[in-house]
Amino acid sequence: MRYQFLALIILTGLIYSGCSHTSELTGDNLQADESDIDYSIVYYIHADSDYLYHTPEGEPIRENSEVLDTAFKVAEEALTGEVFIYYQRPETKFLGLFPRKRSRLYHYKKSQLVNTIKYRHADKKESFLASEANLLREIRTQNRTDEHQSYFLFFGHEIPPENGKGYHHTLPDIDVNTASFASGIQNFLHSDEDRFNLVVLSTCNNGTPKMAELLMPFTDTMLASPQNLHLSHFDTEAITLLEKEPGVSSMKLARSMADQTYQRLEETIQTTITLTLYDLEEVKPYIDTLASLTSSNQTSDRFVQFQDNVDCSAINPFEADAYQQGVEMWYKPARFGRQSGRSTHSGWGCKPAAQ
Amino acid sequence: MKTLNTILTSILLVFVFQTASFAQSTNITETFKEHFNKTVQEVQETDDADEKRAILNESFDKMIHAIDQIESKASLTEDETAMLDSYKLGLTEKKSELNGLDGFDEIMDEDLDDFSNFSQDFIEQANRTITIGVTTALLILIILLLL
Repeated sequence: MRYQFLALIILTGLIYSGCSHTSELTGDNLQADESDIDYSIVYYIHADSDYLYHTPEGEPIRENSEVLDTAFKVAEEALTGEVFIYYQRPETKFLGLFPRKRSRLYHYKKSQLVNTIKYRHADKKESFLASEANLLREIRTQNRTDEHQSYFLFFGHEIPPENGKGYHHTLPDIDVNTASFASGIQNFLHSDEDRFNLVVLSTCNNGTPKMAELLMPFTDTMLASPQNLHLSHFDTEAITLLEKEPGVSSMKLARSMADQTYQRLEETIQTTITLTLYDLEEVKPYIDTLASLTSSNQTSDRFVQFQDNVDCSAINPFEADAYQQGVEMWYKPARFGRQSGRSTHSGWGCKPAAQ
Repeated sequence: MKTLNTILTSILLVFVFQTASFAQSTNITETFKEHFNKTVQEVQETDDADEKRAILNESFDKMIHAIDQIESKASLTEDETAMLDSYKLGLTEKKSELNGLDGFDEIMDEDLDDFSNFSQDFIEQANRTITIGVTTALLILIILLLL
């Protein structure tokens, strides 16, 4: 009888914890500092897929763990800002029955870790980033300086141009594509009038005319890779410039990130390096023309959709000079392969045409 | 006591069943990455260029063959087939370049270490993932093919 009672208590506890979507791990209960914050940074680190890679010595590194370490360092140095770090890990069930909350939101305010929330996605078909945006709206600081800046940094695999089922290995029914990403990050903004100063897409193949067109209403600048970004990894330590040079422009900050990333990659990898910074105000006059020009060359062929981008200038009667305003490029061709001879890049990536 | 045993047995069965289900959704690109990481280590441990070339050729062949086996034995969606075909095309290109086929110049002996790194960079590139579930039996077959 005693064992039955114990089993009942355990089961009840598991069911109860499984029903809740979030729970606070560490409410440090620090005295809330209600003074205004100068900037907000959102890191979204995707780990619900295959993120295995190997160091030159052959040692495995998993789950975008190095990016998480960098995010913690940045957050601990953000003396006047607020940092949200989402670490989205595969969802599993205890004993195959009780959903576990394996994803984490680390909330730093003025360099202090004020909250760690573990969460899961209750609706397996929810809109992309909906759970994360809801959490942020509940806990973010309302008091902001007039010069407040907002940054959104996404680390993951290529956000595909369409469909995107299966992007999350354990949440395959959530549609992840360029359009759902754009509408998803909009929900992180403070108000309808608010904009990001910079969106960083630490992914492959997302420096495209379509992505720029979709993000234009929500951000001033975009840092992305039109083709390959090895291991989805932009270096982001340069965010600490917000402390060292208060009021630094998002363009200058993004240039520092690109410089640092390029220098690291140039020394270590053999594949193509393509990093592009887009000043979307400068790009605005021609983006619709460019997006329609490149999309008319696109195909619904699924095989092509899963291939790497090529330089848009390679597949169109494309006047590269007409689409250079507001585009800064860090480029090094691959050491081997078919594109090893290309010495320049337009800064825009497109899916190759079907053969 | 009998009731307790029934409860515990039920929980155990559910656990075993769910563990088996989880194994079926193992990601196959991780298997390829682990395999090719060993290839790169082997290439860089030998000084003999012919041996380096042979190791790389064998490794590409095994991965291409494993993909062929998946495509012939698993029930795949159109997207999954397209993903696998794209992955296979990349591997086939690397093999052609290694051997100077299909319009490529053959990789020079002194560049074979760098070429193995280049191929690993390509395989571990951020968009290189195949998110398909395969059966446990097929996964075991793939691993055996790669050994």
